Formats: sequence, C-alpha cells, structure tokens
Amino acid sequence: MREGDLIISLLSQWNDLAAGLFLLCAFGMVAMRQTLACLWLFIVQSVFFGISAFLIGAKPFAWDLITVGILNFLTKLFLIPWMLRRTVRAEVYARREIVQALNIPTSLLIALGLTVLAYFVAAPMLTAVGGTRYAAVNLPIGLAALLLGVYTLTVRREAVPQLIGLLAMENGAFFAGIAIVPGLSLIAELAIAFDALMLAFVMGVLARAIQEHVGTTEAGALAALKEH
Amino acid sequence: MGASRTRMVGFLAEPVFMIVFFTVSFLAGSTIPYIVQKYWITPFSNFFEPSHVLLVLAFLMLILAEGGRIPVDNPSGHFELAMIDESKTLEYSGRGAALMKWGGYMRFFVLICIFLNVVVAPWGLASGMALWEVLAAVPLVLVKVSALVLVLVGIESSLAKLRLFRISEFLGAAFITSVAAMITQFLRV
Repeated sequence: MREGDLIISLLSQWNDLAAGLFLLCAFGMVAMRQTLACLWLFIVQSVFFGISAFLIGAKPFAWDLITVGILNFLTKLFLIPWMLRRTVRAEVYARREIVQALNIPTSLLIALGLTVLAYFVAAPMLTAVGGTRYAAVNLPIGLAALLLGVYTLTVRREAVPQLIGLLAMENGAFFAGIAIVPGLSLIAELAIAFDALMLAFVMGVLARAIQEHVGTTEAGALAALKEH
Repeated sequence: MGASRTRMVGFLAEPVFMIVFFTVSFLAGSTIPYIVQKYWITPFSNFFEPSHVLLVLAFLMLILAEGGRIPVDNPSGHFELAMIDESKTLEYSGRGAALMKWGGYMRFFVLICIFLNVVVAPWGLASGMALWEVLAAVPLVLVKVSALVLVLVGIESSLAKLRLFRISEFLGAAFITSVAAMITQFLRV
C-alpha cells in the first residue's frame, strides 16, 4: 500500500514536469519566428503529450491511454512531420522570418494572459468533473495550450505555421482529455489520430497548390482577391 | 552607448529577477538559502516540480543576459554595432575601466553563486559554524562553478549572437518562463 502511494506520487510528479514542459513548448511556438523551429517545437510538445499519456496510464494500468501514447508517437513524431516536409516545398521551411500580425513580445504577453485565463476557467470545470491529481494539472495546461494554438492560428500569416497551430490545439485538447475522461473509447482516439493525419495531408497539399499558383504561402496576403 | 545598452538589458532583465526570487521565496516560504535548499530536497520529488524546472531555465537565461554571454552579448567581440559590455571599455579608461570590468565580473559571479547554491545544486554549503566546514564549502562552490562554466561553454559555442533588438525577445521569453513557473505553482487548483 505504502509503496503504491509512493509510485503514484512519483508518477504524478513526473506528469507535472511533462505538463510544465508541454506548456513551455506551447509558449515557444508563439515566440518562434522560423517555420522549421515551430515544427520542431510541435514535435517536442507531442513527445511530452505522449509521455503524459504513458504516465497517467501506467498506474492504474489503462490500455487505452498507452495506446493513445503509442499512436501519438507514431503519427505526430513521424507521419505528420514527414508528410508536411514532403508536401510543402523546402523553401517555406528555409525562410527565416514568419510574418505576424503582432510583434513577439506583445504576443508573449497575450499568451501569458491566455494561460491565466485558462487556469481560471479550469477551476470550476475541475470541481464539475471531480478532478484527480492528474486532472488538476492536465486540464488547465491543456486548455492553455488549446488557447495558445488558437492564438497562433489567428496571428500567424503563413499557411504552415497556421496548420501547426491547429495541430497544437488538438494536442492541447487531448492533453486535457486524457486526464479528465478515464475511459475515452479507443475508437474516438483512433478517429482523431487519423483525422489529424488527413488534416495535415490536405492542408499540406493545399499549401503546395497555393504556392504553385500564387508563389507564396502567406495566407495574410491572400485576403484580397486581386493583387494591386 | 555602452551604458545605455547595458541599461536596456538591465531593465529588461529586472522583472525576470523579481519574479524568479518571488517564486523561489513563495515556494519555500523563506528567502534564506538554507531553508530554500531544504525545501527542494525534502522530499526529493520537489526537485522535479515543473515550477522548479521552469525557474532554473528562466534563471539560466537571465545569467546569460546579465553576464553578457553569447546569445545576448559577445564578450570577446569587437564589432561596434553589436557590443554591449565591451563598449564600456571604449568609454572608460584607467581606474574607471578597471572598476567597470571588476563590477561586471562580480555581478556574474554573484549571480552564478545564487543560481547554484539556491536553485540548482542545494548541497555543499557549510551547515555549521566550525572552521573546517566553512573551509570545505569553498572548494565545493568552486567545483560547482566550474561545472556550470562548462555548461555555459556548451551553450556559448552552440548558439549565435542575437541581433540587438532581438534581446528584448530573449528576455521576454525568460520573463514568460518565470511567470509560467509562478502560474503552475500558484494557480494549482
């Protein structure tokens, strides 16, 4: 009994650590200028998500969470980055600066505000779902990552970082989900995993087509129909 | 020029400083290094708390900025457009320059000592008043400092210097990291 408690407290500490680094990656995605750095941060964030899924699923042992972790590693570490690198031209990744609607220090401050908001929103939700120790950490941080993903999506004016923001949103939602819904059916997880994959593929092909027609993937410049 | 640039880095680094120290003292419930050290290692899992790890990261970025290390300032650079700490040697001479240099090194040393003894390696401070304990603590601090210097060498030789107006982004990131450390600790539900 005593040993079991010790293991659970150790697991939840490690989960706290993974959650902290997960949040840091979400901040990094807001702060980074290069598309490639964004992609790498997304991969690292997915690694922390997978680790968290493994830790939560380790004791009491839950097959579905372990499967979620493995699926996550397969798709987000290998398939999605590979697909994005294949579909979108290399020059998009080689470009150093991403055009943003707001400058980066302002973005970081807004991101901070969003995180605080996520914590305040999560408090009543936690009492509603009857939170465990894991949920108390994962729910607010997942919500914060979701909001930061939305923010990236809004502010970035390039197609590929926008797509990465969308995938980061999905990461955040799942990060919260694995802790508050213990027995989320595996079918839903599978569906989402393939959904994200298809999303990345379709968006990648779309970005490539836009680049071939217009010569840029800068979505902010495509707001007007005609070039002046 | 050098003074105004130093001031710019200084006032951008100041909020990070304050938040880092607030968080440390809130966490441990004290500002006395011995109590803070005790807090990190009892139980040892406190050492892996997200707030502690984020704090270490923020403090490291702060040391790089305040000590004039490479992502912020190149201590051996002689390129006038980019230098921060070195440009003081252009503006001062004789004893003034010596005092400036000395002050810069002391600031770096004090920051490293706080970083090591309070946050990163909470072992090896003298635990009593006996003479031999105090004497033993000196080489231990030196060992810790040289280990940290090796880490700094690794960081410096693997990064490129930031442009002058990117420094605010670097320190902004440090600020966000330290505030994230605070948030993960205090808004825990």
